[in-house]
Amino acid sequence: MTRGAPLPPDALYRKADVSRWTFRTTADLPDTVEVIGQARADEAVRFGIAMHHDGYNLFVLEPPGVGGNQIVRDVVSAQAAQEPVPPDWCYVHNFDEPHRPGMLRLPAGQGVKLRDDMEELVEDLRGAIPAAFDSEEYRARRHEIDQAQKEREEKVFESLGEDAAKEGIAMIHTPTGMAFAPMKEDKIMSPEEFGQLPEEERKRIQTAVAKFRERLERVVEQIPQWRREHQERIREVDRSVIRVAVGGRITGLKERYKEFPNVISYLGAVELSVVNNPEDFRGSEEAEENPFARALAMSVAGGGAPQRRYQVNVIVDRDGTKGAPVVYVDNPTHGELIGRVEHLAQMGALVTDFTLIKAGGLHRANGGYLMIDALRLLQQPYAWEGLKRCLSAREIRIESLGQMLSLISTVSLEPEPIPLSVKVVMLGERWIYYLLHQLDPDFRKLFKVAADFNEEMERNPDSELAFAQLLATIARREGMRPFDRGAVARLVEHGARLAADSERLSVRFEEVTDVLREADFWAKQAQHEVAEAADVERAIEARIHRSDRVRELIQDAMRRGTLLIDTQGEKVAQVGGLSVSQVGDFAFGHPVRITARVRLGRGEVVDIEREVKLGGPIHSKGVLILSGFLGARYNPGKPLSLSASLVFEQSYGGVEGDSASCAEACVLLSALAEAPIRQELAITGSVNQHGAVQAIGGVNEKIEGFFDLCQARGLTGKQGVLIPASNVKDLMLRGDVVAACRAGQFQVYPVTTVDEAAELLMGVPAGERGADGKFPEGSLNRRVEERLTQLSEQARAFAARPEEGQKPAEGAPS
Amino acid sequence: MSQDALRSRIRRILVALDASSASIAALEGAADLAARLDAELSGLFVEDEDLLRLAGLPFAAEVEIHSATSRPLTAEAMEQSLRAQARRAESALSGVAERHGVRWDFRVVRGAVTTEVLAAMEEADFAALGGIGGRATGGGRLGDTALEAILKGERPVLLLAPGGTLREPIAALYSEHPSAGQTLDIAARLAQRDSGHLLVILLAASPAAQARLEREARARLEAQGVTPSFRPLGSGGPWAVVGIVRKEHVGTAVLTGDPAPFGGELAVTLVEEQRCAVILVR
Repeated sequence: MTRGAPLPPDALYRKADVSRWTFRTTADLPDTVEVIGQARADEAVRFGIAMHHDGYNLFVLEPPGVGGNQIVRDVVSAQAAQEPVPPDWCYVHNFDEPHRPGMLRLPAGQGVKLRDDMEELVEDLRGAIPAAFDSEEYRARRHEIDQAQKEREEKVFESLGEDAAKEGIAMIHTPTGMAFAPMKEDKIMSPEEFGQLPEEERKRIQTAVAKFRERLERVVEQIPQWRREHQERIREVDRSVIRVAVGGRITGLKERYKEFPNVISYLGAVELSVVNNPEDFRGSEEAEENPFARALAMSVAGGGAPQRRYQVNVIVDRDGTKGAPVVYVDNPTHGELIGRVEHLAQMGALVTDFTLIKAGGLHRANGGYLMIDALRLLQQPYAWEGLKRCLSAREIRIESLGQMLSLISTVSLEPEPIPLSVKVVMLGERWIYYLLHQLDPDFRKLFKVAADFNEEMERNPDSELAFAQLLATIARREGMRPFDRGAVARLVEHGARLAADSERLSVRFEEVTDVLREADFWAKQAQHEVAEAADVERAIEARIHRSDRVRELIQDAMRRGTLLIDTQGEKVAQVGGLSVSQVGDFAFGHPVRITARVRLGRGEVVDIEREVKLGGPIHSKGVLILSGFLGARYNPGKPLSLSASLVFEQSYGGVEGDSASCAEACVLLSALAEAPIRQELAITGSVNQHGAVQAIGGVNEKIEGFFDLCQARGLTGKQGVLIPASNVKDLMLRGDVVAACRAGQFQVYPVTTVDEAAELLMGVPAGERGADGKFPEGSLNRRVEERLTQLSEQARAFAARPEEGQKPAEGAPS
Repeated sequence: MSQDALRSRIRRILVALDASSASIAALEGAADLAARLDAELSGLFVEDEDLLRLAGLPFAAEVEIHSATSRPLTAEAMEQSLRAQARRAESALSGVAERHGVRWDFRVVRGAVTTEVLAAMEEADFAALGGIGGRATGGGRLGDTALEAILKGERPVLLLAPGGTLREPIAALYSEHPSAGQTLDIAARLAQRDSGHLLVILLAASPAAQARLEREARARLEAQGVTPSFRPLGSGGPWAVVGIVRKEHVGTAVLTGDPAPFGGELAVTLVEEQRCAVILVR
C-alpha cells in the first residue's frame, strides 16, 4: 500500500464468498443442529452434563443475544432424552410425627396410582366402617357391653342399697353425691325420731352408716376404673370390627405394592391408624364441611382433618413422561425453587398439612436438569442460598424463609428431605460469573464447569456456509419464506458488520434473526415469494431509521451550522475528529471539532475536558501521552516550555476513549507549526508515545458519520477520513459510502504514524531527523521543533529576569 | 280430633325441675312443645323432705361422686342449697320460656319428690321429664321420678335424653288403641311446624286391619295438611319400633302409652339407646 494513498473500494467492504454456495434459496439447504461458532462452549456444555460428580454444575456465560439459552437447552434436552425417567415423589402423613410428613419414592407413574388407590380405599372405608358399626351384630355386641357396664354399676349400688336396707338404712341421692340415713316406715328418719332412739341403737346406726359410707367411697373410687375398662372393651370391639372391614382392602394394596417396602411400611401405618381411629370414618360429614371443626382438627391434631391424613400428595408425577426432565424455572424465588408449604386461612387461623406441600423446580428437575437465569436467581431473596444448601446437602429440605432465618418459631411442617440428584445449568452474563467466582467460595465448589459463549466467530467460506444453513433453519422453523443467495449473502455481511470486523461474524443470532424476520416482512410487503437482498437491505435500513432520531438531530445541527464542523478549506490548529455515540443499542458516528492553543508554559498539555470533569480517564490518558510524545520527539534534553490546551468544541456531554488522541496530536502540531489543516479530512485513531497510530472502535460508524455530513453538503472528491491502518480489517461500510469511494468522491486513508497523518492533513512533509540531528528544513517537524525551541528560550529568559524591586540572589548570574 | 280440640286438651305442660342439666334439657323440649301447642309452662321444684331429714341427723354426710370423699351435711346448708337450686330452676324456666314466647309459672313445694310430681301431673295436661340416663350414680333423682311418672302417671309425657331436643323426622305409632287418634294429632301438630311430613308406624293385627288403619290415618293427616308415609310393624313385635327408629334416624317418636311394651319400657329404650325424644300419649 502506497503511503498516503486511499484504500481501494474492495478493502472497504468484504463481500460474502458465494463461490462455494450451490443453493439457490434457503429452501435448498438442510436444517442444521450444529452449534456454530461456539465450539468451546459446546464442548464445555457436553462435558458438564456428562460429568456425574458433585459440583460439576454448569455456568453458561452467555453474552446477550447469542442464544446460548436455546443452544444449551437443545443440547441438554437431547442428552436428557437418552436418560431414564426419574421416580415420582409423594408426601404422606407421618402417623408417628404428624408435623414431619414422610416422603415416598415410587417408579414413574406409580405415585398417581397409589394416590388413586388410597382415595378409593378411603371411599370404601367411608362406607364399610359405618356399615360395620351399623350392623345388628355390632349393635348387639355394643349393647351387651354397655348393659354389662350399666348392670355392673347398678348392681354394686343396688347391692350396697340392699345391704343397707337390711340394716334399716336408706341410700339416697343428694345434689352432689349420695348419702345414708336410717329409715322409718319408708321414710328417712327425722332428727327428732333418731334422738328418741336408745343410745345403743343410735350407735349401731351410726356405725352402720359409717360402714356403708366407707363401702360407698370404695365403690365410687372404682367407677372411673370400671368406665375406663368399659371404654377399652368398646375400643377392642371397635378395633376388631374395623380390622375385618379394613384388613382385606389393605392386604390387597400391600400385594399390589409388594415390591416397594416403603409403601408396605406406609400401608401398615395406615392400617394401624384406621384401626385406632375409627371415628375418622364414623363421624358425620359435618366435621368435613364445618370449617371451624376442620380448622380445629387440623390445628389440634397437626395432621389434617380426619381422612385427609390418608391422602397421598404426589408432588412430582412423571406419568407418561420420557427421558429425564429439563426444567426451566422462570421465576426462581425461594419457594418456586425449593418448594413450599402453603396454608389455608380458616377461622382466622392459618392451618396446613402435608397435602399443602408444593413442589419446587428442584423437585421437578430431580433426576434431570434444572436451568435458571443467574441474574433472576440472585435478585430473589435467599433463593441462591437455598439452592446452594440443597446442592451441598444433596437433598431438598423444604423450609419457609421464616424457618430458614429463624424469624418464626411456631410449629410448622418439616417435610422429610428428598434426596437430590440434579444437574443445574445457570445462565448469565460474564460479569455475574466473575463476581460470583470472586466473591462466593461456594460457587467455585458447586459450579465447576463454565461454558463461555463467544460473541463472534472467524469468517471464512466454511463459517459463511454454516451461517447460511443456520439462517435457513431458523427461516424454516419460523415459517418464513425462503431467502435467495443474495439475501443470505447480505445477511452474512451484516453479521460481519455486527461483529465490527470484516474477518469475523457475529454470533448474536438474536439480532440476525430479527433482521431475518423483518426482511421476511418486507418481502411480504413487496410480494416477493423469495426474500431478496433488497428486502434484507430494507430491513437493515428500516431498523436504523427507527433508531436514528438523535443521529439525524446531530447531522441536522451540523448542516445548519449550529454545530460548527468544516468539511472544506484549511484552518490552523483545528481538526475534525470522529466520535461514536450510543443510544440504546444503536451506535452512530459524527465529527467533532478539536482545537488547540499553545503558549509559553511549563510543559503541560491541558485537557480542558478533564479540567471541567467532562473527560473520562482513558481520554485523559490519551492527552497525557501527547506530552510524552512531544517531549521525547522534539528538543531532546531540553524541557518543554509550552502550555497547550486541547478542547472538543461544542461538546457538552462527557468524552471518553482515546480514539481522538491522534487528532489531538495533529492539531497540536498544527498549532505549533502554524500549519493549516485540510478541513475536508477527518481523523480517528489513538496514538502512543512514539507516535504510532493504534486501532480504535466503531470505525465504520465514524466514517459513515463524516460521510453523511459531507454528502449532505455535497461531496467534493477531496473529502475523506484517516483511520488507523490496523482498523482496515474492520471495515464493513455502508453501500453508499463504498459507492462514493469507488466513484472517487470520498476516500478512506489508512495511517500508521502521526507523521503520516500530519502529512495528509497539512500537506507538508513531516520530515525525519537527519544525521545532523535536525529535521529537514521546511518540514513540519522542523517547524514544530523551532517553535518549541523558541518557547524554551523565552521561558529561560523569562525565568532569568528578576522581579521588579527584588535584588538578585547572592551568587546568581546578573 | 280437631286442632282446637287438641289445643283445648293441652293447655298446661308441667316441667319438674331440679336445676340439673337433665331437667334443663326437659325444659327446652317442654318450651318447644308448648310453643307448638300454644300451651303454657308450669314449673315445679320439689324441696325433697328426705334430704332435709337426712341433713338434720347428727352424723349426716354425703359421699361426693366426683371425688369419692365424704363431706358433712347440715340442715341449714341443705336448706340453703335447695333454695339456691329453686332460684336457678326458676331463672332457667323464665329464660327458656321467654325465648320461646310462652307463658309460665313456677312454684316450690316441699315433700316427697315422686309424690309431689305425680300430684302435680294430675293438675296438668302434659308433663315433660328429663334425666333418665345415669340414674344409678348421679343426677338420678329426677331420673327416678321420670321413671315413676312413666310407669304410674296417667298424663301424656315428654321424655328427653340429656341434651336431646324435639327434632325431625317425626314418627307416630298408630293402632287400634283409643288414644291412637290423639297420638296421631299430636305428631301431626309437631310435623306441621316443620316439614309437614310424618312417618306413621302401623300396628295392626291383620293385613286388612292394617289397610284400614292406613286409610284412616291418611285421611286424618291429610286433613291437617300433613303428608304421611307408612311403615308396617309387621310381625317384629313392639321392639321392631327400635329398628325403624334407627333406620329412619327418627328424632321424635310419639307413642301410645299402652299396651305395656309400647309404653314405658319402649320409651326408655328409645330415649336411652337412640337418644330419640319420646312423647307418650295416654
